Amino acid sequence: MTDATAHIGAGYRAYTTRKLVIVALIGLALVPALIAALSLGPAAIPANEVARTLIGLEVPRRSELIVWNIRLPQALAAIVAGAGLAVAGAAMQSILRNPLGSPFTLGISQAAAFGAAFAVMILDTGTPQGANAASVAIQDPTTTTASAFAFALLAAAIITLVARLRGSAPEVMVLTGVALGALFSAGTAFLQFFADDIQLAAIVFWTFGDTARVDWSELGILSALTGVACLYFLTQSWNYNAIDAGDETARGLGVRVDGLRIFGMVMASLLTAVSIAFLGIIGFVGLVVPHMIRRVIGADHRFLIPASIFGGGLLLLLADTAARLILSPHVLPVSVLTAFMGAPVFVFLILRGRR
Amino acid sequence: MLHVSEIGFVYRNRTVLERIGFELRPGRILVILGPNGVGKTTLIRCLNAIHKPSAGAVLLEGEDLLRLSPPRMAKRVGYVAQRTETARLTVYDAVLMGRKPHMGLRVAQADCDKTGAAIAQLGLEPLALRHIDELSGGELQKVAIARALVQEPRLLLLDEPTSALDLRNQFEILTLLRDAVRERGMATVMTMHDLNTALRFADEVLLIKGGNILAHVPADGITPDLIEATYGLPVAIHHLDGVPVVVPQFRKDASHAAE
Repeated sequence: MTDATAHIGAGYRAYTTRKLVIVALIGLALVPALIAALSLGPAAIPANEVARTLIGLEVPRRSELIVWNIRLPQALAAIVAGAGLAVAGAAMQSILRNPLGSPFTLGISQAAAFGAAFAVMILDTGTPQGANAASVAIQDPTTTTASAFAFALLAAAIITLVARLRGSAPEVMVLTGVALGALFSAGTAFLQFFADDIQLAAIVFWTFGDTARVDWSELGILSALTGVACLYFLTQSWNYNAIDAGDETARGLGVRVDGLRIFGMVMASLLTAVSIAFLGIIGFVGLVVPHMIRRVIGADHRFLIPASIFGGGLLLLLADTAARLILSPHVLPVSVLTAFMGAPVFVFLILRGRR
Repeated sequence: MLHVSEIGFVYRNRTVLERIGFELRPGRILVILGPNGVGKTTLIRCLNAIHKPSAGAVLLEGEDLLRLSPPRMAKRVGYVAQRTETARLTVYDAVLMGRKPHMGLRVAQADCDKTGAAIAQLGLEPLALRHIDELSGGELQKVAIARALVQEPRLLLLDEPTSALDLRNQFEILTLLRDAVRERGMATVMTMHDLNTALRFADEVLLIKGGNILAHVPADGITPDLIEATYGLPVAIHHLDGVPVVVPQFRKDASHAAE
């Protein structure tokens, strides 16, 4: 090795170390954000009490109940769903070679919303429970969730099928996704037209994604699937870098481009479908987070993917905490906040330009 | 030794390549010439199975390339595509990517050494940590070539490596490329449309027309007749300081220019 190459190597090592530090910092920021999320709320619990609860030390019974039964599942759901949506977005943007790649672009969110509306209207899960109809409008959440999940997967399957028939070119997938999104939106509108007030409320309620809905067992399923998908995407980072260099170049480097596209799409859809099924639709996280991260850390998927996982979790956790506090004692569903936040952030990113 | 035999390729019932066969020794550069749309790029891509040939075989040092899995193929054959996309990736990472077929998730010291050496060989040291979306066309092409070199291929394929470059960059890059080919002893096949550049840097020339080989000659064995038969245009070949220069003879003044 000559001096010149040693010099280049040293410079590069310093550069990658810097990137790893940024990824680690985003990850570490989750800890204070989580403590804050658990301590803030209508009943304030001091941070040290939160910490003592988490590691199992003696605290007032009331604090323990609030942390373990109410705030912790919600906060963890926000982290896991945020991480999943963000990594799905990062992967889709590379797979589709399109900065607008996200669950929305592929019509998966719209399909899930239609699935929920379908359950409420046709499978009759939206009838009120006793006199208390206004509080929770969905009588049978399991069927509604399953139906949303099934339709999200159906959308993914159709896109995959079209991709297999016509080749996995990004344009084919994006166009199919847009068409599916329009179709399912139309379907939802059609069902809403015939809905009575209560059914309509149920459909709308479900469309607003909210992290407060999950219980521990649902959180377990969500976490397991998200974990598997994240691991998969992490191992594919070189492949996504290669695809970014162009399909032909990637093929020349031994990447099975078509298989990678289709499988990545299925994984991302699955991730989106499960999060939508349990929490409802949470927009813009999948679209905005990878763009924010790309600005800080560049487009190298070896860093972009882990940073998106942490960054998505962090963003949704912060948004969720804010949504609980902003109109306190009223609690906003986090999706309302991300929608308000996402659009201006995205326009800002566009105006700042790519460089 | 590269041994290509009887390659055929059919696209949507149209025969693009009928029967193409040639041999090429290591460390030699073969340039494929022919009119637009004759299948030059297709032929290159048939050699590393990006396109599946409908017939024929490609033997590299006795091994049948067309039977290899994509990752194994990538260890033996490097490919520089006509177009590369850019992303916010450093030059170093873009070159290191060429080690992908050889490495797992972990980047070993040997991978970094080879990357550093290829970057140095193409004179990219000052740009090593720059992002490739900030580079000029010539610099980007050097990155693509460096990436193919760190693959350590025994066969190097390049599709129009200099078509979008200015004069100085064309010569600089082809000179660097020729040195690398000689040093590493790779059999090298590339397509080109500029005859003069091709004749200057090729060891051998393959002229194709109508899906078949019209001629396979050493670069200095090319004649005006062969070029006219390939492109349908009369030319004269002059030698300036030992360098062949192809000059098209336009129909208008063909009567006196041809004599």
